[in-house]
Amino acid sequence: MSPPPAHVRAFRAALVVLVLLVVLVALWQAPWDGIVAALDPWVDGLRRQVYL
Amino acid sequence: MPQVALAVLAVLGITAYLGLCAAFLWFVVWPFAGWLVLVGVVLGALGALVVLLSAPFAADTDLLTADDVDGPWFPPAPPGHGRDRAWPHYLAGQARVDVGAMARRGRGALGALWSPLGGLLNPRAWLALWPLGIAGFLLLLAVTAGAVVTGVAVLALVVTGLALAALVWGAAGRLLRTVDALLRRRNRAAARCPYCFWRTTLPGYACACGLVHHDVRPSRLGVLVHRCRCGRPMPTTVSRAGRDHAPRCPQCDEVLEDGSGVWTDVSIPVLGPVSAGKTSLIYAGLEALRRQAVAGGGTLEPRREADAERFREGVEQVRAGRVAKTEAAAPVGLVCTVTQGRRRALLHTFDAAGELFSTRSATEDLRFLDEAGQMIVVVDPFSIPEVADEVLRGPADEAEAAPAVDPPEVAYEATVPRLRDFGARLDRTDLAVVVVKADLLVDHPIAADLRPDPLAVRRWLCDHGQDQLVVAAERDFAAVGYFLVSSHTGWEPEDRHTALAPLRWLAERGRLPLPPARTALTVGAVGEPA
Repeated sequence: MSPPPAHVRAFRAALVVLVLLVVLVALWQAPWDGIVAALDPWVDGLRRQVYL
Repeated sequence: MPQVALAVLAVLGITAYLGLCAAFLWFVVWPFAGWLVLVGVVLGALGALVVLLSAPFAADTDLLTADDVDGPWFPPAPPGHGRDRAWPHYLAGQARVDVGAMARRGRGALGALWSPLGGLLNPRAWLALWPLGIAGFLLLLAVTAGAVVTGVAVLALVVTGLALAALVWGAAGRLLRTVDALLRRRNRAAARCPYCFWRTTLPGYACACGLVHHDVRPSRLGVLVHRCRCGRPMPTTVSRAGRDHAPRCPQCDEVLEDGSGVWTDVSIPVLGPVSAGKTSLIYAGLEALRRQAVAGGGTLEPRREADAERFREGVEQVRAGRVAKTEAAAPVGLVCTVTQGRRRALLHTFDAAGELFSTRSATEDLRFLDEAGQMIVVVDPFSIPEVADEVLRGPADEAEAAPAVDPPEVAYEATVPRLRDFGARLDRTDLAVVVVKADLLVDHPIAADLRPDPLAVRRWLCDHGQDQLVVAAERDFAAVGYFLVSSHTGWEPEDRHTALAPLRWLAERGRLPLPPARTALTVGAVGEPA
């Protein structure tokens, strides 16, 4: 099979960059404080179970 | 007794085994289950990202090439030449292939993730390792959950992004296509093949590799450029492609004149019986038009050297009053470039031997009549019986007037049905009815009330037996103009019977760029819709 031409490669690369960009922005903008606060009791419970 | 002892031992063994399993679950698996889930979800999400985003680049992902444009990924190709062999735009087909590949590889990766579990379904292995298997199962579930959620999110993001891009891309393509069409329609741009006389608003353009692209408008093959099968870019829109690519006739594939399809294109066939004076009218009219264009700072030049030579000879013959009979073999087209300021246009005049207008069947092959927005019908006054009886009193008169062999209505009646049969839009076609040989006619009493005025010419024709021609012309055509011309003296724009008048009227209606009229004669038309 012949290699894809430059315009196909460029569009695919743009697609990957778009997804990664959205993922990065999502991670950056995620409400980490709330997530950590919500998970805290569960993590504490895990710790207690491990050190039981 | 031994059986009882064995049973007790078995119960003890099973109890010990179950106790060990329970201890393993309670002290090893359960404390780490939460961590397993957390790690599994993160691993699954990362894995899904890697698998999905690498799918389009995988070697086994299908690639839509220029040879696939007629394939199942595209709607049926338009009739005629079909779809051009150019690389389809990524958003038109390859994007869907890539999304399919992402979904397929995602499913494949999940299947591969769960396949080792098959080994654990072996009853003996399961019996021995089920507590550990539960940990593995938990991890797999977490990985799967992370991968599925991430995969669905990524696919949704990709599909949404591509759909939005396709919408914008499609709208941009339609906008560009519409603007190009409107600009060309405003200029009445078209292409007329000088070989087969086919007229089109969409010429083909050849790539440097030789492949002709028959539809360069923005489409699934690209909005700004089409990429030829060879990889070279071909600008979209006729206006852009015409700048640096030679236009081709979509019918016979011959190379057209530069500017075809982009410049204003006016085609004026001239109808009339043998010896009516069609050739003289064309050369005298073109010469007068050329003089007026030059006087206005523009140009009117034949496109090819052979045409220029023929034009010079024709004008000399008209001035000398000895125009050679047009050969009946094939119609003759003369293509001229007309420039005025920044505007450029192509003017095609077509001259065919009168024999070809004598019967309906003889007109069959006159392809240059198709889609001509303007036409001239030549009326030789000396072929009107009433005029001939009064004016032509002997062989000397006949030799000087050289009357047409058929009455004026014969060519009209032979040609118009043919035009209708071939689907010509006569209701969008302008017709100039030109009474020629005025220099020989106006001094006779029968032409006492004949003046180079449209109403006077029309009235004179009606008064001398040509009322049927007048009625038919005004019924059939969009606008009809009446002119009195002397080709022998009318090659000067200022001449009272200038041959410029009908040509200029038609040319202006065809949006040919011309300087303001300098002649004192006001060219008007009768029968135009209000």
